[in-house]
Amino acid sequence: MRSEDEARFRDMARRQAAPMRRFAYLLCGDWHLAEDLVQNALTKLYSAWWRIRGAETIDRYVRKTVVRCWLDEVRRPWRRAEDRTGVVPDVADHDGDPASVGQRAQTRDLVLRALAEVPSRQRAVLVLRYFEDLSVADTAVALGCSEGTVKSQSARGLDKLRAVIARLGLEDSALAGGRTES
Amino acid sequence: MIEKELRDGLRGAVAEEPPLGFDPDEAVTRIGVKVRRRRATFAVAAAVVAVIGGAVAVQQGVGLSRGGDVEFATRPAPPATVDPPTTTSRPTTDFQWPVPGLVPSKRLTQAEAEAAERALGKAALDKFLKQVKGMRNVKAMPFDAVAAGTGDPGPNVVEGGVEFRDQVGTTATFISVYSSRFVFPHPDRECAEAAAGEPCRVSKLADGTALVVSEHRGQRNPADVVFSATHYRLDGVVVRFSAYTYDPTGSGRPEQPRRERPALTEKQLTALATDRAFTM
Repeated sequence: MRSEDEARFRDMARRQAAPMRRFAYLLCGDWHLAEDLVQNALTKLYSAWWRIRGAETIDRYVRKTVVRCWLDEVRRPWRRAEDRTGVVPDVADHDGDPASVGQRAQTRDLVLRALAEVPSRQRAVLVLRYFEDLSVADTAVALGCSEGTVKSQSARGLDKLRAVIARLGLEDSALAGGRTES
Repeated sequence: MIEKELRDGLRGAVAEEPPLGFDPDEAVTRIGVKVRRRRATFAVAAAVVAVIGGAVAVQQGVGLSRGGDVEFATRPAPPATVDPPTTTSRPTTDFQWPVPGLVPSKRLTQAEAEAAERALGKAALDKFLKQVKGMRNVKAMPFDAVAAGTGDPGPNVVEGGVEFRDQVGTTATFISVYSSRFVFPHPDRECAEAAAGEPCRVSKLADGTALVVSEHRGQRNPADVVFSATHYRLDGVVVRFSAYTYDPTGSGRPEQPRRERPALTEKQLTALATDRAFTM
């Protein structure tokens, strides 16, 4: 890679490392694995940089590469057993209102625990749609699948979330009574 | 509404992330070294292959001009001793992969991909019920056409499964059907990359196709076994069926009971993987 290309890649890596890790964390639920995924994605992006360096949609490539690294990871047969318990680490919340702090923490924990039990591809769809706020079309591009698949996976993912939440005995939560977005 | 709560939950989950555990600058430097080293290794390997190929060609030319006899400059070394094959040996085959001269299939349209998903879902349920008897709550899992690897925008693989309940509990068989657009590794390489001690067997079938039967054990829990049959076909399609000692559907709990052996036998997995109903 030429030095100016490498400088641009380095700049991209500095800007994107933290957002990539956040995105990867929501996919895998583990900060350490998220960092591994980011570094794998950076390796792939480095190899393909000559092809994408001029693209105006580098952010899309970056997300797409992280998703593919994650799906490659879970596609390995020995990684299919996702015996993750959905344990969420305690984090401090500096908001002064204890009621809203408690509500936010409860929602966050519940979503993370439920998300941990959603199948990986559905989870990727949910994170792309509801965290990255991608459209159905952009999500389909990121996952390399049809828009119909994104819609069906999104609906199934939301249904699964509801089912898990119900199983966790939290039917009375505000989360439990929603309807599926079409 | 769950959409709003999901958005809030996702944003809240990353609101107080720990500091980045690596320095992006250092990572880029390391990646650059790694990529350059890998490219150099490939270049050297290609040069070695070219030199060996050239040497063989020259030797054959010389041999033919002498009537086929090749003289050794020194005494030939005695043949090396060969270890007897064991159950975990990695036999090689004369199976050629990728299939020579094969033109990869054209990229599926959205409608074709969705049709393939439906067809495979139906075939999975029908064939499973035919091959595997005595299971309860048998139902097809969703099949999705997706992109695998980095060289093809896809879709180049359709994945899904069949969920069922045996005497131990709920489990499933997962199915992956790779189109000829996906560059699947050679069966010998598949086995060569298996961990030491893990059974992996390559065999060439009567119709000229190849079958890999392999077993992987979980790194965290050796009682987690994935048993797979992977069929390499002459049209470039690869079909893999996997069975498990545990519940791989995502709804199983860590403390779930494990089976002594995966839920399907080698015979059942082979019959399913080699069934031509599974294609794309």
